[in-house]
Amino acid sequence: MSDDARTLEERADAYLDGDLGREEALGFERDLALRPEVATALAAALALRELLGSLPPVDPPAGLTDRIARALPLGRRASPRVVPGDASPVQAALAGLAWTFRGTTVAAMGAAAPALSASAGMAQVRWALGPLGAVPEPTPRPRRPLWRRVLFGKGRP
Amino acid sequence: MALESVSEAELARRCRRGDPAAWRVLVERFTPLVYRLAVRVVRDGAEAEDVSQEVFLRMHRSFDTYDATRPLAPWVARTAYHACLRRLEGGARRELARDPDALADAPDEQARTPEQATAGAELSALLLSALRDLPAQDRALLDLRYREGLSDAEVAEATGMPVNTVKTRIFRARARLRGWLAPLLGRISP
Repeated sequence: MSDDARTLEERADAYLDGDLGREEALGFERDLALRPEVATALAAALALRELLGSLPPVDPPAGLTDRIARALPLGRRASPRVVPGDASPVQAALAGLAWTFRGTTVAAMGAAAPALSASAGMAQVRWALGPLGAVPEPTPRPRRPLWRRVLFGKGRP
Repeated sequence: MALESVSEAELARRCRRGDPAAWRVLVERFTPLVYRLAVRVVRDGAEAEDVSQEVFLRMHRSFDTYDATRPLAPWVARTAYHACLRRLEGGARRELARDPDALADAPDEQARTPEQATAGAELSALLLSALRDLPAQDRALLDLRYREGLSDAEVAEATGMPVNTVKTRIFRARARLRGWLAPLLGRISP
């Protein structure tokens, strides 16, 4: 917006906000020295800002902070999960298990894995990431042939 | 280090962990801001207390959404600002349900002069009176900008408005106030 399109008050506000371009700001400062009405507009703009910033303080009522703090569910959160100091039972349970995610296998290292530090707890359980081929295929459980299951049903030879 | 003097980032980190002492400090540090804004916007002390309590409960529930790389004050102010507007909307709906013409009776700030409104009153009282007749959103903008010292960008963050909208609205609100207070502002000019 050019100087001409703004009112004096708008220019004063824009000057205080730093929204005038360099040339406009210099022009405003020149006017300030030459035209009393520019100085009056600037003083009024400053006075309003000072007034807005210096209104009587509005203090919260006594006890409001306490009431708010009491109303918050503080200390009622679930306590953090306790990490076991000895991870060996978990390692044993996980040993030999493997999960496959889109071609990558995540396998829990067994109790025999040398890198595992049970004393440090679960944080130390290490996971091996590798291609599916690196993990041995689980041995398939022998199943009865379909015709036997159809003919003899469950529990029959 | 005493919790009262820890940085905002550290305070936020502890609050995120659910540390009750940190929450207590957060409440103490920001209740004045929340309450002042609420009083300015909802214009009722008891309502402002309710809003303040609601604001901290909301913050407690949604603290995970706070971006710890940003200053806390605009985030607190945003929660407070929206809580105030919701409260006002609820109040307006209740008011309209009771009396559909209630809003039509709202005071017209153009219709009175400073002399009529608060003849002989002090300037700040006159300003408070004029502020009450501004739209709630403009009151909040002026409060955040000039009382709480937030920058235009932080006010924009707090209110969810674009920075240019904030500037324009603040500019118009100031112009309206200036029109109201012109005789007195002229008197205190050098």
